[in-house]
Amino acid sequence: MVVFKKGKGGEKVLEIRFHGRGGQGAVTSAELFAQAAIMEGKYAQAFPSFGPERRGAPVVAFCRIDDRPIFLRTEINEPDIVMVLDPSLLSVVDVTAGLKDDGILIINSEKEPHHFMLERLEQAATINATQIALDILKRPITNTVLLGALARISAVVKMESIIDAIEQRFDAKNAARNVQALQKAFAETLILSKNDCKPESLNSFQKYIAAASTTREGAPKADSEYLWNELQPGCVVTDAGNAKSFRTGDWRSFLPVLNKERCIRCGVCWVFCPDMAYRQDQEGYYLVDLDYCKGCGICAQECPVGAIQMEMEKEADAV
Amino acid sequence: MKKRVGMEVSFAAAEAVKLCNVDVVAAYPITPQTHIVERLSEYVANGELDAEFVPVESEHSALSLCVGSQAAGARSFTCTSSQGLALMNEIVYITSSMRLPMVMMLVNRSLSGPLSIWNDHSDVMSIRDCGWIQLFVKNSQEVFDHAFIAYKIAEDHNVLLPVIINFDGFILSHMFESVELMEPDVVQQYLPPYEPKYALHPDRALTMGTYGMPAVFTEAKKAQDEALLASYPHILEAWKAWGDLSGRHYHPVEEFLTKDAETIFVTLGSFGETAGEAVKALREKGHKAGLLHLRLWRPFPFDAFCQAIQGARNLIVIDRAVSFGGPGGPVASEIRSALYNKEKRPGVYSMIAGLGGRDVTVRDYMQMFESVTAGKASAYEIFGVRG
Ligand code: SF4
Ligand code: SF4
Repeated sequence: MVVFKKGKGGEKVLEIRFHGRGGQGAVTSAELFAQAAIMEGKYAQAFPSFGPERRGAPVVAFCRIDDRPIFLRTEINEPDIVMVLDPSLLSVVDVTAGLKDDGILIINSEKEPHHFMLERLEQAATINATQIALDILKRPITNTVLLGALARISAVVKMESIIDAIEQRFDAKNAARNVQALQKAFAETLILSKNDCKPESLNSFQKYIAAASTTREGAPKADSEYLWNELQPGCVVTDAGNAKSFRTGDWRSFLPVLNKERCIRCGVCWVFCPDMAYRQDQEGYYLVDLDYCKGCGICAQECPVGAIQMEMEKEADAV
Repeated sequence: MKKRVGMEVSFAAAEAVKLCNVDVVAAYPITPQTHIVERLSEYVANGELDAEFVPVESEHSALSLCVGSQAAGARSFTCTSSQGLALMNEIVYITSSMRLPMVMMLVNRSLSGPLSIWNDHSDVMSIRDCGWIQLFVKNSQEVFDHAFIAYKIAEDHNVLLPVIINFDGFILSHMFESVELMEPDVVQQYLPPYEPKYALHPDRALTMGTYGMPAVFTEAKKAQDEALLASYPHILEAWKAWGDLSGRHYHPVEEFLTKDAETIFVTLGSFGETAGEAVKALREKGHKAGLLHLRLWRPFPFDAFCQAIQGARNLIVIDRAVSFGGPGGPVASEIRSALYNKEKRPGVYSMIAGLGGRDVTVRDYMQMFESVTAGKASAYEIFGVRG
């Protein structure tokens, strides 16, 4: 267990960034941790990166904890700890961006921590949070589970306080299950310190980061790259249909799988898909274009004959 | 010389809008703008003007409709006053940020309360920062001419911004006075049919009214501000072309006896005409008085303004709106800040006058002049208030 860093003035400060997907509860995770800290008499903030949240889209949330009152109202760009709630994010977002040297990376993954160890990190930790969530909560919501790993790795907030925060937030039945998941995660978290990492595994994660940081060919120019005089008058968008280059398929952690025997080719899935991912084939079946399917599960919900099953995406094993 | 005819200024305004051959008129009647809209609806009804006249249910809808029609490439027109403008407010900002080159006549009336249908500038000052080009005109001829000029400026592809023509309610809008009308072919020569840079069309899809994430919003606002500032030379061009055609020349800042003046009145709108009479009377008495009429309010013509007041000792800035709890009238405050970095700068006296239809006479202006030159005036006062 690591006792946390001292700030410049000798005070204890801790900044955590949570990476999740819309609907996975990254914000709840940040809030519960902040709540636990506040209950211990510390000062804390939790907040999302404000914006339009779409189910499945990559989102970030932040938690800042301090011994003294906090006057910062800025996002956390140089976190001490990064938490990744969904392993599928690793290939789309550079989760290590700005992570402090000697920082800690906690990842929801079935893999061992050495897969994620970087030279500049102090520790990497993994926990198979999705499995725990599915077993205990019966849903792949990993937010409270990950807090178990966080509690294990950081001594800033006590486990009992996190349990108190959970009990305050959820009804008794839900709280009990979440606490059970939290405790299981606390026990099962695998932690690796840099010094214990075999030199050959060090930095293999770098490939992942590089892939996530490269802009896909044909991707639209990012908002942050525009100069003011490059904008069209009135910000008119002149290239019609450019949503095509916006691959919402990157957001997916569940995959709709069609059972053709059941399908009556009614097209309800096509009508309801919010990202227009369905195309009809020559036989009249509706097939999903994985570049755009974000895995929301609406089609499976709406299919009148239950021909679509949502299956979890396998964790990519590029490492 | 062309023949001058007598007519109510509102009707001259409607006549000009008709000559602009607008495609869409959407407006909701409100005093004192009503006569303009009524007359335009008659023109459309009797076939004199081939346009869609949409009798909307509110001013918010009037401007929203014009946003839509202008986006589709139709030359669009609306006009309103006071509370009507307040109700439009949301869309006023959207129009300019979308760079839709429409024209609005704003027949200035005070904002309630107490409820007042009479004239001052509290309505226009409430949208000072709305991003439209804003002009003030002061007689029938200027109203008439500026309908064409406004579209000419707005639709210039170097500009693409909406324009507001401000003119005073009742004291100008309901005045019966003379105006020199223009032949339709002359107007057409000056103002050819509207050619949009972007227009919504099923065959040429594009998106307008987009979303701006924090990463690009600042750049979008900077672009909008630069566009408004960059419209200045094109406004001058439009005035020059109109001057060449009609013999009537307009300038962003209009000066009357300012060259050697020690004390200069600064006014907006038709009140300026009365102040000119006061300046004449003061000159006759040997006082070095002058008058500066600010025709262009946005973009603010800083250089022309500073040039015009060079050498003056006092500026008496007449504001017709109160900036409650603020350091002075809105125009005076802006002028003060424009002059702040100048080494030699005149004293700026902020006089609020003519609120809610209160008359301001030649004698009143002379009184202001006397109190300022005698050193008795304060930096900010509501002129003539009782008690
Ligand atoms: S909604 Fe279901 S049954 Fe209908 S086409 Fe889609 S998969 Fe087939
Ligand atoms: S295909 Fe189904 S799961 Fe994928 S985005 Fe469309 S509705 Fe959602």
